[in-house]
Amino acid sequence: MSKLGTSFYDHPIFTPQAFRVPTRAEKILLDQLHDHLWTGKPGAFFHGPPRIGKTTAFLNVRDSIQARSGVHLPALYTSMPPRDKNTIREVHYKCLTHTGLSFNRRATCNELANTLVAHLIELSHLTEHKTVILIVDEIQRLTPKQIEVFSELYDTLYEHNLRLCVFMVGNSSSSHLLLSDLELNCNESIRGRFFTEQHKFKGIHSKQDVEFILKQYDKLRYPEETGPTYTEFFSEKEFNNGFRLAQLSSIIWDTFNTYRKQLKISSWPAQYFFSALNLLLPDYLYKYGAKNFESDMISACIEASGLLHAPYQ
Amino acid sequence: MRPISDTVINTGYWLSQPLESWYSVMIRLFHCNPSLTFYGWKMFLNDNKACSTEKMFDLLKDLYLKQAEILPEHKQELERHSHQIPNGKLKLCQECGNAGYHSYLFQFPWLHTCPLHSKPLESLCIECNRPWGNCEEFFKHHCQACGLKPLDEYLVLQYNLGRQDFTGLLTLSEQVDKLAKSSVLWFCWDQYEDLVFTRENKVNMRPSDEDFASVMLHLYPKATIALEPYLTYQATTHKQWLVKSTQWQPSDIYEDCTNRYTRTLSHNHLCPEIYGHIIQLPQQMVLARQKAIKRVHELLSEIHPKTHSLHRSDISSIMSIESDCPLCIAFSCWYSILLVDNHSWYIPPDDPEQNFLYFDGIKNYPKTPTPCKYLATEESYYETPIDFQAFMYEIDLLQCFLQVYEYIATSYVQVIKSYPRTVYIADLENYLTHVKPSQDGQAYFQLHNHCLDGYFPNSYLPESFTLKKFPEIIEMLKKNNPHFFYMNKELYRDGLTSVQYQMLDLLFVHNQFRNHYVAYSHFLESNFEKIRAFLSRKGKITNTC
Repeated sequence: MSKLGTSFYDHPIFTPQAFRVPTRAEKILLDQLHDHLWTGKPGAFFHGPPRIGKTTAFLNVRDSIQARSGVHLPALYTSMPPRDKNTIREVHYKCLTHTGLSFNRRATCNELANTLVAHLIELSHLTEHKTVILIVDEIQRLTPKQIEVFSELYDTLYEHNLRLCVFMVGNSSSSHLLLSDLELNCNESIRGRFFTEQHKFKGIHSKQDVEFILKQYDKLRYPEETGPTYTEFFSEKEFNNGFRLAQLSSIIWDTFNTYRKQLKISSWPAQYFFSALNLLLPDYLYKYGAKNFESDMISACIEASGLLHAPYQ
Repeated sequence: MRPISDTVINTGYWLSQPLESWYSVMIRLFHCNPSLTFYGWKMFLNDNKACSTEKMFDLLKDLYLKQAEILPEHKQELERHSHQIPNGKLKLCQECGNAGYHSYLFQFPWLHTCPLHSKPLESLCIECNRPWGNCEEFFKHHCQACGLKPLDEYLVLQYNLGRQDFTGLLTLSEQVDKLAKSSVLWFCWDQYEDLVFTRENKVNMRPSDEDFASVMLHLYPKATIALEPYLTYQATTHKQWLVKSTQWQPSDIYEDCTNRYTRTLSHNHLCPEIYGHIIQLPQQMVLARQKAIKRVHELLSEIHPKTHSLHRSDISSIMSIESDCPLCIAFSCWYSILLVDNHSWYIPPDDPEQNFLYFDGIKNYPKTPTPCKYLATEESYYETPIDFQAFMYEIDLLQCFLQVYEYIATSYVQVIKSYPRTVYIADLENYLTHVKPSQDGQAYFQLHNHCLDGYFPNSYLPESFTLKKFPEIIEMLKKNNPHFFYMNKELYRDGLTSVQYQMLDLLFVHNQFRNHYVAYSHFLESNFEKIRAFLSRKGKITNTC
């Protein structure tokens, strides 16, 4: 237990808010975003079940979005909050809040809109591609009228020979109302621009997805570059003898499968997956070693992660 | 790429235009952040505390420079002109004012017309009659021209501005920058007169003949033949008119002490630091100097009585003198250059680092005229009578003054910019701030219809001399062509004797000076009788041997 000092608990897996491990879903998402960007589409709608990792995935990939030439494109992320009154000003206000810009909180809608336009134009000029990406999360909380804000932004930038690409993100179940509203003829322009292309975000839904993430644990190091890998950190001897966490992907997935059928869910929500895995490493793998690893341990971790009490079971 | 998380304001850097000033940047910041009020800016910049407008500007500058790291060259340019934040004293043309563009070049006192729009640079907005640059008024939306505009309208104006041709402004800036490059001006004052110069503070103007009226003494073979009866053949062959060819041996001392040029070796007891040549001038040449100095001095005295104070002062006291003009400065420089001591002429060594006003663009310029004058042909050269030399020397000295003045007049603002090295001229800015437009002694430019008029004080130079077209000024600055001064004959005629007039007419008036290298032989042949008469009056030409 010599490692159980302060440095042991400094490991990133103990700080979930800062813990970032690339998933296969993120890779797929990035490919989808690039497909849209590179084919000149104005935007798309990404939806999926709650807690599946949409927001995390978008936040993780937002700085990796590239033009075809490999140049990184600036992306602005904003998340829409629920409000008593759904006003257009609120959308501008929220977008500006996420930009980090300083602005007068009592400014008019027009002033906020102009500030946002100026900011998007400025971002788009950062690269020679004159393109800026806007990621709008929790879109199910907006009305079609509020979504028109993004059409206006798109048009304004277009007037200046710049390109705005808007990716809407929302919960599948809660977006039904919005999507049905958008089916109306009066909302055709919004629908045609941003909702023609719809993608379901699947999260962790196969053994390959699990294996992809476990491989990251075998690769990622703490401290970065000089330290041991995550797996090595918690099972040094076995790791040096050839053990890799990815070898457990089958048993982990199979154990989850029993719960999946019981809970009637198609994918393992990322939050609960990482919660279970990050319990597994210090509480079981570290203590009992890889040789003594059993599916019961995984079951215990899954149950401790809170999956069984998740809101959508 | 700049991290988005670092962004606190929209910089609008992508709308930046060449040579813009801080005023221009601030107007852009205000337009690109329309949700911030004037008060909001102050609070935001000063940690939610109210502050003065001046402090707000300073904080805004710092913030902008911090954020503008993505464009280092842009940042560099702004930092260079950071002292150019004018408040309430802006000069703008109405078009630039509407677009919110201002260049530091507009603030030059001699520039009266916008090089971009060819409209007058005014200190007041035509629409509201308020001074440009009043930020509080700017936020009140009172004036559609100089007030805060909607973003889309501002962007359209900026795009239109971006389509303007900035070439003229850029060229002017480029030339002005050349003049602004570091140069060390060292002057000799009366108190140093007897000590000549030390190596550290000597004046190094390179000697020249080609840049002065005496260049006319180059003759061509045909002319030589025509003038042969009046010239004494000199055995040594020279093809160039250079100082090198005129160095004396100790034995070259005339019996007549008034006609004596004596070379002093550089390592003499008076100035061991100097390793050039010091030549003791004949009395006539000293008198020629005094006449030239007196003439310029009298002209300046007519313009304003403070002329004297400057050149008689110590360097330290010059810094405190107020209300002096470029002509006085030029006079001081010129006077100091001449008076190594009253009776000698210093030839500096051929060392570029020590040349007076030596830097790119004005290499070896201004120059000092050689006192001894020879008639040079392609085959040989001849010494001329000493009184003729004195006359030519005086003319050359006057022209030398104009060269110095040209330098000062074109560079005074830039010299002020680098004032730690050239503090002596710092008071010029003060002078220009207080001087009234009609006051004599003010150098100015007037740019309209692509013509840049002015450049010399009205009172000193005839009107015809001051009319220069903008491209010509640029061309002149590029080439630093001193012969430009010859274009006006009146300059040289004023105050001369009738004999001098006659000679000047021969030299300048009836000749296309710019083509003198080509047209001389023809000129001399066609004016042979006049030249002969002139030379006859002065007596026979003596032999140098």
